[in-house]
Amino acid sequence: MMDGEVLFVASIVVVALVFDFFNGFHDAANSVATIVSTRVLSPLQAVVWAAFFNFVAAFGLGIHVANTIGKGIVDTSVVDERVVLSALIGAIVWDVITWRYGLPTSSSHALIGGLVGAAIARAGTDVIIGAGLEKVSAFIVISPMVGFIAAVFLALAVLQLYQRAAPSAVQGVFRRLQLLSAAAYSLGHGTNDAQKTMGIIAVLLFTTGHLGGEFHVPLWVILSAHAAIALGTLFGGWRIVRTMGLRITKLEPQDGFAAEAASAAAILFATQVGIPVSTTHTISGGIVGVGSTKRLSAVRWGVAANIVIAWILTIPISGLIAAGVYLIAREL
Amino acid sequence: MKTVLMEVALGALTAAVAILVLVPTFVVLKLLLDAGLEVMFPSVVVFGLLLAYILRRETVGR
Repeated sequence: MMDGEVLFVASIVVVALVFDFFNGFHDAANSVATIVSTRVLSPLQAVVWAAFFNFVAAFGLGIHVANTIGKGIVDTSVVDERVVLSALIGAIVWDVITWRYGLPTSSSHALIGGLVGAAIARAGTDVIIGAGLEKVSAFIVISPMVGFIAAVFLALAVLQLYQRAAPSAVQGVFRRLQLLSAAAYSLGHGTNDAQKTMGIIAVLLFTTGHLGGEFHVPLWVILSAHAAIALGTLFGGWRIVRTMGLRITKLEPQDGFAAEAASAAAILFATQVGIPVSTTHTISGGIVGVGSTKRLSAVRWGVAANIVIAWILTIPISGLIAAGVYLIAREL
Repeated sequence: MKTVLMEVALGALTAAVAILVLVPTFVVLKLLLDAGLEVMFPSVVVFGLLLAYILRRETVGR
């Protein structure tokens, strides 16, 4: 009986790592979109570069986001194997649907929506930690806005600095600098996104009695979450690369640098204060920001509007799917 | 060789400018977050929209 339970928990950990892999597959494409669209690196070189920094992010950047996901969104007392499994299935189903249509939605918010939906299906709305969900929800708007603002400032500063420089010199400098900004972005993406999976696995282990008396994130969970997201990046989703890098606005290397550096700073900031943000939202805000410094009509608002609609739907729909899965799983 | 050195120097200068722009931005954000979401949320949204409006006005016709 005990072996069966351990096997069930281990299977859910595997599903969580598969989700993390798909997070890399689905979201991490954003890390390389600008660097590919500006032709600084080939698609293969770019995904290897991003995957490396996704994994390196396991070291030294803390686990504040994992703690928020693990014990800051829903009351841990109602979380069991079925709730976690339903949350993961809800998030994966929504990710696959949006990947199919090339919409860069947030795997992170899909996971949070799934967790909230499954927990409500199990024990009602009282189990939701209002302050935590409120903070995550507020940052759905704040994170792309911060990406936008920071990218505008940075793009304008770059424009001032290079206004008399020859275009060939500008290209040469920013082709190199974009390697750094893409690395910083991948570092931010790796740490913020992998920590969401760590949080889910840790809360599962904690509530099933496999972590001892105190909630913490074991080292093997940290390393396996980063390895999974890095592998996902290697197999990246090219539909989304095209949407992010080519369709929203046309990018030059200096634009890619500004968008990535600003987004990386925004994500690393959120990570340090323990807020799970969407890396997709943030880089989208950054790309719109640099596009806006040229002319607002340079931004393809039709594409941007479709993306925003998908963002708004992510938490409710993944929550509904997870709640449905939980209600079915409960009867099994 | 001279071109490469020039590009490296310009790259270092640009990285320094990026730090000078981004660090104060995120110090302000931290202060806003410490003041509470009810302060941070409207401040960031209003400032972002204002910035978009100014950019729209300044870049019209380009």
